[in-house]
Amino acid sequence: MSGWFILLAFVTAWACLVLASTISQDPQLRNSDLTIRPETFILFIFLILTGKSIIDTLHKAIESKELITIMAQPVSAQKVALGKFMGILLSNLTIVAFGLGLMASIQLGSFWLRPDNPLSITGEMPDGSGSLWVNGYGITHLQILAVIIMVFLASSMGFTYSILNSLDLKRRLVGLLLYSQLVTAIFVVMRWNENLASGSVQRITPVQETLALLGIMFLASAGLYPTIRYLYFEVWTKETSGKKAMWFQKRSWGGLRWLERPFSPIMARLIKKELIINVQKKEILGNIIAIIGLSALLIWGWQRIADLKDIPARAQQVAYPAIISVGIYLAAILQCGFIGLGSIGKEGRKFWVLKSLPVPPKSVFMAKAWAILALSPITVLGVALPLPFILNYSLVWKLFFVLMTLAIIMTFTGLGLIMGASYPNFNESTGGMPDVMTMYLLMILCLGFGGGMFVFAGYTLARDMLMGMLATTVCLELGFIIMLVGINGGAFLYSRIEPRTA
Amino acid sequence: MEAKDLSKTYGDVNALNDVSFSVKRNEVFGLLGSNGAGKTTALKIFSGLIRPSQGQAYVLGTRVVGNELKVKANIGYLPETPNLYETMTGEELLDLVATLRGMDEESKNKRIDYLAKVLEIEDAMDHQIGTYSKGMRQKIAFALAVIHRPKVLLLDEPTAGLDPRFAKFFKSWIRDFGKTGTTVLMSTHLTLIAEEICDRVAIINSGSIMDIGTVDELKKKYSVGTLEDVFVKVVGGSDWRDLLPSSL
Repeated sequence: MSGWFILLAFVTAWACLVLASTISQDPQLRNSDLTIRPETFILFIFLILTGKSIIDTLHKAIESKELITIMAQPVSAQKVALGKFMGILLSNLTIVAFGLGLMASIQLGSFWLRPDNPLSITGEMPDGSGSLWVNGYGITHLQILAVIIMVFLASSMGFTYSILNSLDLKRRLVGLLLYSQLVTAIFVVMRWNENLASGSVQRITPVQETLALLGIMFLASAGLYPTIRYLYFEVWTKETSGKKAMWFQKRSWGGLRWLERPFSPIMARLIKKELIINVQKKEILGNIIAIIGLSALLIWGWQRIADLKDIPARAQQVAYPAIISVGIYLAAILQCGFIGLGSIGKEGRKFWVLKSLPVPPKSVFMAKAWAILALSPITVLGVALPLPFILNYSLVWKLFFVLMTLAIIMTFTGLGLIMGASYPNFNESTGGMPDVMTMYLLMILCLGFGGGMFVFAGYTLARDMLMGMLATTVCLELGFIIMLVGINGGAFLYSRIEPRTA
Repeated sequence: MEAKDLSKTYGDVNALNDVSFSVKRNEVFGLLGSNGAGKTTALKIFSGLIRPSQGQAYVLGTRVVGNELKVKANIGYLPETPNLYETMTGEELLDLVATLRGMDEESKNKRIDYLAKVLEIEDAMDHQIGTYSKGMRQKIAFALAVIHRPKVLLLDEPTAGLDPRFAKFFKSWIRDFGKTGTTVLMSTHLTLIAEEICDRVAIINSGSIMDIGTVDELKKKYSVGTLEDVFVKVVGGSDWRDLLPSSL
């Protein structure tokens, strides 16, 4: 697995560099209004690491029952929380350092291998202008400092947000409202120079930008301290003490008995069990929020491209469907692929319950697949539909995106399930998710399958409507087959897994 | 039930080493051993949770390996540390297991109500298992094992975590299983429990069976008065006084 990861990391880093280099060296794009500034890239790092920090905090610091051993020692809860925070911060710094180092090493390698035409990221452009970022912006020391500050900000804000999100509703809303001001401030600072409509408002210099970020970091730290000091222990105690049953779990409500209409009693119970476990997990809610954010991001991306005046027409034709496809990919990975990936691991030490029962493994996996599919309409509505309606696509193209979303959902579900059964991780502190290498491998696999399906069906539809719908149907069937393979393969692997603890 | 030359290896560790024994119908058979002796491994093999590295296990004449579903339909299993789904209520989990075992709606509901009443967990049935105490989880796990009135019961340290009242209740319940047509294979490291409720006992140490017999047979064979002394003699430990350090 380590070999796969290293290979995939290099391939992905190389692909990103080639893409960035191509864009930056294309004369038409360079002369257009497209401004992919370093600030956008840094903001992207901030968003991803904040999401990662939220989930890490939830699993390792809040819901971790293993911490009771530490809490029983003469160590203050604040020190425990600080230790957990430092662990999350260090892991984020390591990831960013690894990523930047990899890209830098590949770029240096390209100078050695192709001295006449290297991947020009920080080198001089043919016309004498800047580097990766068009319009002459280079990566400066201050921007590298901004990356480090962003890692600190993402870690502290993610940590704080996760704790605030576990409080009672009143305090949760107040805390989130206060913290959202910091997020807004970050966006304003990082997007200030890009959003200037006229010369009446002054641009901020890189030094001013860095100082503003440092100020926000100071404020974020000021929020982190009371969270650790006064709120962490309360939240940890509450989260590890168990909760009252949700309304649909009570006998008086029938407990999701409507599932027995389309399914057998056994399958209905298995699906219900999966839904209860999944819905209570905050990752599902987090994923829904991420999907809504993703839709907003797609609409923003559409707006940015719409503002371009000189972008080639052919690029415009591809750009919008590509944006929608990328959005569907990301949403389906979160909602289907990753959940399938953790489907066995999240059983943790409860694995013995189903394994000791006379339930065919295939039934177990069909229930897991059905539970994932039950939540997928959120993906369809949230990501696939807004842009096609805003862009006033024809009915055929709207139908295309809906059907392709279903195909992608089934494909990613199947791939996630079989990989989750191949590499189960019963460590409950990670929420059952396999290591980052396995997640990365799944992302690449899904990208290959999903990308291939979109290009095949989309290209065919662009040339001929009837053939295009046929191609879309083929993709739908292929997605169904992949899901079946995932279910059956996962069931086979599941039957071979031996629970080490019960 | 029968174990024939059962062995189980985890890497370099031999959890079980050529273990052979048989359990008669309607018998309460105890596996007595200290921690790490191999008791849990043996029970897991009989329950179909793990496969032996060598040898075979049989339940009701059926070989376990290759017939896991058929065997699981006839057994009830209580693990040593019953980790349960924390976000499900007690009733939901019992309902899930009873349905997966093919019980019809009416008998399932009656059985759940009966077990909840007998185990005194009626008030907690609507609460998530995450809020349960250790004893309540043990009770729910026990209910899971017996809800379908199995022909064979596999119990791993069944009285762990129970208060004295319920520990006594469980012991008499287990004794009664044998009389009502259920074969019981249980593991324990408590000699008093084994002495009280087991028809026959196998002493297991470091993955091997050291001796098998009824409690009276073993006491007579080793000329001692208690099963505890039998255990110490068989396993080869010193007098307990010699084990204590000079200062704690």
